[in-house]
Amino acid sequence: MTQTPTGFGDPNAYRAIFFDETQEHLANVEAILLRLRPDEASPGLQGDFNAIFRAVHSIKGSAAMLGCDDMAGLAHLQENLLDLLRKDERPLEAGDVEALLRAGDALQAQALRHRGMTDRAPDTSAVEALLRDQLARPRIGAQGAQSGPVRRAFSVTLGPLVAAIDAGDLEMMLAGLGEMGSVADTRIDNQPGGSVAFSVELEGTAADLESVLALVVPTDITTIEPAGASAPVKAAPQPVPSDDLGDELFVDPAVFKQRRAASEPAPAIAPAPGPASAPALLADLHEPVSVAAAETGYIRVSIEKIDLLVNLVGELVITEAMLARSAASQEDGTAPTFSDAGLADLSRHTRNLQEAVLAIRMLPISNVFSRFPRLVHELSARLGKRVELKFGGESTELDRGLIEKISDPLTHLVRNAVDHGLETAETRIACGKPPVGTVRLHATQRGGSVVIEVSDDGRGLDRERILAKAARMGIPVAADATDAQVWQLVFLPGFSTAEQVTDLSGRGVGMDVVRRNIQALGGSVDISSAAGWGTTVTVSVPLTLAIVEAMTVSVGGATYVLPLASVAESLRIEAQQIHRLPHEGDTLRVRDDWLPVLHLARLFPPAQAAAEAGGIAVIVEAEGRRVALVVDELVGQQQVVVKSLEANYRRVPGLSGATVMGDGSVALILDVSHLVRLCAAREPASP
Amino acid sequence: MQPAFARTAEPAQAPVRQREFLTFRLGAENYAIDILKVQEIRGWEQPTAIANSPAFIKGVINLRGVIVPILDLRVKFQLPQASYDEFTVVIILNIASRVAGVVVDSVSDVLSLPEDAIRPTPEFSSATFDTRYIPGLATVGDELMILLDIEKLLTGADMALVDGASH
Repeated sequence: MTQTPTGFGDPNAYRAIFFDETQEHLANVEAILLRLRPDEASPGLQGDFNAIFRAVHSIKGSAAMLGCDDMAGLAHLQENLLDLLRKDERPLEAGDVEALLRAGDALQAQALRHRGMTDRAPDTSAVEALLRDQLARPRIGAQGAQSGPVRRAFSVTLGPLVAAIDAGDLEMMLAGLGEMGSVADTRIDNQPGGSVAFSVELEGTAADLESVLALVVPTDITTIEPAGASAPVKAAPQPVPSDDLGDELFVDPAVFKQRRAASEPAPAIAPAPGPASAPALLADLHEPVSVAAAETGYIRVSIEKIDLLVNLVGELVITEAMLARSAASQEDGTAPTFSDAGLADLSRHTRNLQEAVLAIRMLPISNVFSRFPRLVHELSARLGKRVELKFGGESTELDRGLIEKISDPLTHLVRNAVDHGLETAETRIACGKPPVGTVRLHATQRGGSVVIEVSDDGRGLDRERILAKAARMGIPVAADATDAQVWQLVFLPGFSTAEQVTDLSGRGVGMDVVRRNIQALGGSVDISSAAGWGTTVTVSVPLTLAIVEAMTVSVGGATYVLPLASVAESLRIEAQQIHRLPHEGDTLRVRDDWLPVLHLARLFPPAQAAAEAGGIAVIVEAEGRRVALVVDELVGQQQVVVKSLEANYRRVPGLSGATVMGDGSVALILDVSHLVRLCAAREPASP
Repeated sequence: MQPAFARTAEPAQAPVRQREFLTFRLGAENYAIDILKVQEIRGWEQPTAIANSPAFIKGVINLRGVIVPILDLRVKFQLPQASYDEFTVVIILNIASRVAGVVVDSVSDVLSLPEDAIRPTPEFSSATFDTRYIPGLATVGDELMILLDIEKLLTGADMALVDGASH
């Protein structure tokens, strides 16, 4: 072949799609694998195995075509194992699930290397050995004839075709079949009304062949005949009236399974062959077709394009605000230049457009949750605990940027819940609890934020032990501190109460990092717990990072933006309220509290000092501390579009970004956490 | 036709390549920068100052939704006067996948120079200005053009324009 098939004009674009799809396939496969219950008699698994098989097969085909031979090889091994399972040659074992999960990880690692994200080729020999071991496990009904792979010959006719097959797909299918065995006598008349015919020899059954062909052409125009046989068998899964158990070549696996179950007296693994189960199995086999049809409702769009759209709409919002302002300023003048109705429309459409565009960036939080079944699966195996993971509100939507940033803190919380929160099965039974512990993840939207709860029904936080640890660390705690105040101690750096440090958690770098990361997103973390009943950690983050509700203040003619979430209150300073402490800076009395004072004009010296400086104190709060920030004036409250300062300039201490104001000028956004930490550093006694 | 194995140590023997430069004035001198680095030329608008930054960094502006730092080469090169009026010009540059604006006295012309017209910068024993940023000099008519490697200059450590470069 010298000519590239039309479907793959740009190999790089195709590679990108391949990696994306591989990612998706692997995620699907993992989700299905974790749902399977090995070593239990569960009917209707063929549908699952077929879905996994299809995913792995399409990875294999594309990988081979793009020259990722290591991936193709590994996928091929997986296919062999899956093939065995879906033909019900032996029951599913825990080892199968484990081997397939590991193989998925290895494929992922290989894909990363091909993408150039890592240079290290993963060592897959262990995984391959694992897969081979599982392949070699004894099969049921192994009666000599089935012991080794048998090559079988088929002649295949696809047609009459309703429409021409995509040249790339056809190429891929033939290449895939060629890899499974050998393809010969290919006659291609690829046009409507024409047909494609070839003969193929491979290690597999007619059903295998059909599943490969089904990726490209509908099954109802596929005819598969054993080479040399006279009676053609329609590949469409119709029960074939045959009583010969040995003739399993052309029998639909579901029907075969049913018959074998009936003929074998009470096999431990076979499902109860109720009359209703056969149609159900057939339905399972056909389900993926409708799934494929539903997928066409989506298109893949690169993130850059969406970010560009978000930026452009942000510009439009600002332009609209400028127009509205200049229209308002002309009202007292002579002739109005703009029609009021037109302006109102413009402003409404702009707002709707902005909402719609931001909605594109929103992803359901299930994108984060979906990684936890695997984590909990591994943790529970390692710790010898029995854990059930429950989800709620997975469809709650969150900005894409947040989804990425929130997954690490949440992973930490889930790990904590399983490792520290839940007891072992024995302890739970001794406490009168069910042996299986529950970890629950729940997300809801409340106003402009998303609240995520990570709760467990484990032992709960130990008030006495936390207090003892605080005493050891020299942290003063009031004797009558409420539980809520005691739990706050957990968020202090270096605070970990785990009695023994496991390799999973408990190094004391946990909760303070979680809190810092969440606060960096403009969110907050709270913890509630009852001894013996469990612990709930509540994480609240804003819906989007792109837009922030903000308070604008001015200092010496310069405008600064404060995220409203961190503003507690603001008040006019009376002279007698502010006091200067020796070597410590100023302190401001707010009701019964004395707060450290930061003069914004001293932190960010303005070009020209204001005539009457520092009249207003804004009390800001972050990391559990409050600081009085002295400014000249409060300007207003508005939504601002957050822009990066680092993109073209550099990080500036004390600033978290910039925004464009209604008049097109730039205002800087203050980093409240940094300001609060400045004060903390000034307090000599603090740990 | 030159035989392939001929020694071509002198650049004059290679086919003469033309390079295009944007020239501008800073004080009494003419400077030239690679035109491929220039995104656009704008009039001066008052940027938002960032306190505690070096004097030559005038602040940041909103360039169609992108926050762009503006620096004044006149301040950087310690020229006596740096005033801002409606004739002050800002060259918006695209360097190392970043956007930045530089203020100069005036933009003069687009100049096409053959490569062999560029002479190496003489070595100064005690340079007040770091000649690493000046790959060469060229004479156009009677005037001297100072070639400026604007990318090297702006991403250099003393510009504090890029994270990590300054500390």
